Amino acid sequence: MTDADALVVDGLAKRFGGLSVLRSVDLTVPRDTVFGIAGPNGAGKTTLLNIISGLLPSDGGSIRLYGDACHRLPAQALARLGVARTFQNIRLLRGLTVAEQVLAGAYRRRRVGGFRGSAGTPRARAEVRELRDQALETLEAVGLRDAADRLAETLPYGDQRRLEIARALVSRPRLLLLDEPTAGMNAADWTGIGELVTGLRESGTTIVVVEHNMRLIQAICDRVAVLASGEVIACDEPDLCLRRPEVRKAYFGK
Amino acid sequence: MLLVQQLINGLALGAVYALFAVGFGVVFSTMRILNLAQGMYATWGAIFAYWAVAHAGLPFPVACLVGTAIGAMAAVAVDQVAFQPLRSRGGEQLLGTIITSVALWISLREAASLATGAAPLGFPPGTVPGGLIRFAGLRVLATQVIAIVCAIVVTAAIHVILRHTRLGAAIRAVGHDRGAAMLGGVNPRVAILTAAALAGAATGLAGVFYADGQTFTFSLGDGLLLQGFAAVVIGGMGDVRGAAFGGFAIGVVQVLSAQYISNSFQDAITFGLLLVVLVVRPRGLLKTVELGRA
Amino acid sequence: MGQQLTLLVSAAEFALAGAVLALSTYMTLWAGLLSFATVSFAAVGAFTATHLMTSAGLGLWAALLVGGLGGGVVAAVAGLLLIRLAGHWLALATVALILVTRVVVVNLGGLTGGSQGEVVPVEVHLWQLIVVLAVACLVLARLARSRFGTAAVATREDPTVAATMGIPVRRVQAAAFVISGVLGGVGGVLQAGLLRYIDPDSFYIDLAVTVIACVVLGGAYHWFGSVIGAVVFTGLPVYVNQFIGQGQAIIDGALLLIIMIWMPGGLVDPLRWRRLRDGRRTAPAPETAREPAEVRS
Repeated sequence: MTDADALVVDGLAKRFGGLSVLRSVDLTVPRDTVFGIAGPNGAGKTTLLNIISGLLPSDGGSIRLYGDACHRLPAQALARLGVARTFQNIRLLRGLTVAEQVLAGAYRRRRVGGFRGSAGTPRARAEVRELRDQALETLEAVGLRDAADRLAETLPYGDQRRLEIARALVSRPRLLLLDEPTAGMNAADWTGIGELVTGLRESGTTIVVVEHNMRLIQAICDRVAVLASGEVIACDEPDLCLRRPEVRKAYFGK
Repeated sequence: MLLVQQLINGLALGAVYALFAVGFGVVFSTMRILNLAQGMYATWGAIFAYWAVAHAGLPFPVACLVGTAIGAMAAVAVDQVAFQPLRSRGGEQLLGTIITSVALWISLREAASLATGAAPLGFPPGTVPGGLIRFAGLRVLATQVIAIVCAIVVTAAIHVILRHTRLGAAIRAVGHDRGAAMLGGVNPRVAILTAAALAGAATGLAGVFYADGQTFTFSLGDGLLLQGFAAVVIGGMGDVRGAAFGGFAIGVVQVLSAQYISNSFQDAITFGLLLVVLVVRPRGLLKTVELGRA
Repeated sequence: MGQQLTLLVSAAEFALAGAVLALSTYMTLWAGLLSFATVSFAAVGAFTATHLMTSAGLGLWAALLVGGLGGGVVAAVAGLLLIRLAGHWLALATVALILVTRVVVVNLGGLTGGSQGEVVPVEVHLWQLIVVLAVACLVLARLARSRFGTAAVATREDPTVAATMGIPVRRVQAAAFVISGVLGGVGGVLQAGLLRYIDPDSFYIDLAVTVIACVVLGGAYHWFGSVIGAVVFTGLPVYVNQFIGQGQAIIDGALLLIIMIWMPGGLVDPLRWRRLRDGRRTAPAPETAREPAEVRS
């Protein structure tokens, strides 16, 4: 199954108490694409992302990652299968420098653990050195190379978003989930993020991006699914999707 | 008949634990503070009540009020000195408040030790109501009745204040979301101070009742802290009724196990129960809603 | 002069033993667990080792091994039961564990001397304390630079983010708890060797309070903070006692309060140093509330 789609979501459902947040969501994300998830507030976008990344259990349906069933796996197992994500409200680890932050993101690629790792063997040191170099390369890619030794929480807002993306990227994910990467940003900042994402696709990463900003979605996504009241009401190329009456109704109420 | 007699003795002891546990539970569930200084409210309440009776010659009911007031004042002072500076910093302060409460605990304990010369104190004979009620072969001390009635009344009163008044709603909201508390039109600072004062008052009264039947020292609060702590965990702190239930339950279990099993296993049973409850039902035996999140 | 020297040595000895216990508590805080259980592990280590020293003639090094093992095993069992509890509930549960441990010690009179306590037949010397603490520090310094160190810090700061990085949060916490148990057991044996006489109250709430105070006072974000904290909070009182006498606890309390309010990071606070270094701070991001997302594992 080498040509399986990157992510297939089938009939996914989620309830919080009596409230049905996701009714029955079906999605297919082909590999090496940028896939957008749009929809009005409360449509269940972040919930969907939380379930895909294993932070929330679902109440029904299935998820396949590159053809393998990965339903009900906890977050750390999914991360080891190559799922990485960012958060809508940036969640950096307090007290770490920019470079340390990215190095922590490379956790799943560290092989020398346990006693050997703690005993500071040459192999362990070589591994850390190599990952540190890669962390710096990743920072270079998102334009934060010069800030490597600064405390992460002192970065400006837009740079914190970039840092979070770098932290996810350094693990070399097969599937990168971005949760509203441009929330709270000005136009100059979000076009920068858009270019970054487009560049990533060209280097062969499959990306799912939850986003409010329709102009950004039109600019970077190959396909977009529009969620409303816990259901996918349209899934197509961004330009076609936006013209559909049901999408306009969900967004603009007409 | 012995069983009934011991049940009553257990309830009377449990009443003291219940009063303490109610105070502990209010602070823990609304403010998320594990207040280890709380036993000292009881110690100081008991010491002042003793002074009121033995040196100022005041009657016992007034001494109870003195103990209650001292407990409340101590609680407000501790809150302002130890918790307010951390609270204004924002964020999760569980560890910080534990440490500052420890700081106040050891300071107030040492002060109590110095103030009493570390000597055992006891209410002078005749100053505590000495009535004995004989009923159907049972012997019940007046102070036991007073303790049980007070515990029930205080628990009910705090429950009503928290559940059925606007101030109470603000107290419950303040631990969870300061913004929501502001919306109710109540100043969060007033809500916090009221919660602290209520907790301190109940604890001070517990101290007086714990001291009135025996000699006591400055370490009275330490023993009460451990028992009250166990009561709160067993009963669940989501609701003051749960905490009170836990207090009464521990009192009864202690007296009955001392009577029917062995004196030396009294603590083993209480604390064993405590650990079992924590592992099996970490929210307490009574199914309750988290107070802070209601 | 001779007396002063004896006092100084004694202060140093208690500081070193206290440092090992403080490191045990630091281990759990490192992985984001607020636990008072160090004292229980110390009690298990101390009473097991003392019993074997008396009955089987164990020497100090063997006793330390046994104590560490005992503490580790108890920590593994306790961790299995308690780690799933949320933050402040775990703190409560470990306080309860201390209470229960004391009851067990009192009631196992045949092994522990019951409420009378028992004499510790082996003495601990200054150089032995130094060796043990040095080994403990070496282990922690290595751990800090290892994969475990990264995982522990991430788990402490944000378990949800840690899980999405592929860090097995519960396993990391369990490992930290067991290491804490081993250090606690070893520290208990050392403490017993210094006290020369242990009873159920030797390992009770007051020691728990002292140990956690050492960690927080010294700085809970670097292992070296625990060592400094132990010197200030367990060593210094032994020496200063001769000058103050009464009311020392009031001074201790005031000191704790002042440090918590004005130096919340403790004496050793790498984060604060980093912030100072980054003084030319650009506007930090607005504080956004963390959404409550559960971590499954």
